[in-house]
Amino acid sequence: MDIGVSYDTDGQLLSGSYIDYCISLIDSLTSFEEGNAVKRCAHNSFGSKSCGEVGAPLVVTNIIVDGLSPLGVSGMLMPAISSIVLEAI
Amino acid sequence: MYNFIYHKAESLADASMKLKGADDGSVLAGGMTLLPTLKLRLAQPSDLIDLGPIGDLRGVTVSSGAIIIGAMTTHASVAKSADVRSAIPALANLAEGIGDAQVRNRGTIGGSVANNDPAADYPAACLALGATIQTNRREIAADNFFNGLFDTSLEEGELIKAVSFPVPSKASYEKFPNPASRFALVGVFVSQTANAVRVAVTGAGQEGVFRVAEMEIALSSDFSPDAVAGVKVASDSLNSDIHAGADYRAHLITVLAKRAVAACK
Repeated sequence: MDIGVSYDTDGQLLSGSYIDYCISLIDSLTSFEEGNAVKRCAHNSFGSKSCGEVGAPLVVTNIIVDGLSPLGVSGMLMPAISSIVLEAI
Repeated sequence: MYNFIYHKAESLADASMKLKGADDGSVLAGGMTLLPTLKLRLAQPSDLIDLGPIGDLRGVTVSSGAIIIGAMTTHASVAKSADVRSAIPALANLAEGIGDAQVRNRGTIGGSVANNDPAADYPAACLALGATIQTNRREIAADNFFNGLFDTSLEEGELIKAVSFPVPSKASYEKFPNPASRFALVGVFVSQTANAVRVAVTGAGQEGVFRVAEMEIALSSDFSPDAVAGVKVASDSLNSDIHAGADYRAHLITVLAKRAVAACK
């Protein structure tokens, strides 16, 4: 939704309060259905995928790219804030 | 927060006097900008003079062709006011879209206008509706009130009493909120009266709120979204920050102006 943690060229934190660092609130969400797609990973002995990693931003960005593919969009930088989405189009 | 001396003002005259008596006093309206600034130790006023106890600064009155809103009226009260809603629905909608519920219940129109934050919503309404800022000393036309970043024509000890909005034929405010702060990344207020069209932009200008003459001229001869579709504001004088670049803000001005014209009622 927004750029996240941001620093200037001198290393000064630019997103030092919630006025500049966006946290999602309940009204930021659209309605969605929840589900699990369970498939064991064949490439490691744990059988785990993205263990300890956050996969959601990738999934969301893929959804946006998919939705915009009729406009010729094939990829996009993250985070998918409105100006980056416009640029991709 | 640093230490300060807290005063309750009994009237605007009393507030003005207490301000004069303080080394480096600040006036407290809703405190939605001032209090976070104090908490972050970005300001160190010697005295805080609270306008909260002055009851007659609160409320909405209707007079011949104008809506007059007391300086200490909260955004929530403006949003809920049946008088504002029926005379200038765009103004009620604007108030309803400021910050979140907590901010709307504390923040005031006088505080917002006096602070002249370059991303605040009310300055756009004042400029686009040709409002008059009533102070304890005089009346100031909105055109002569906003003087750039956080700067206004208010003199030392001069305090806002009310803001008077002439009722337009139609008006609309469209805002693209900054997702973090909910201030306007860009906001465009369009109004049409019997003899003029006004377009005011907030959130985008390096010097705060401004009017777009080219859009006003285009809309005067053809009040339709298409009339402004081709008008681009140059990005040189627009803000660029971590939330959006100047080019994106320039793009938004045209998009929001089109939407505002389409939604005008």
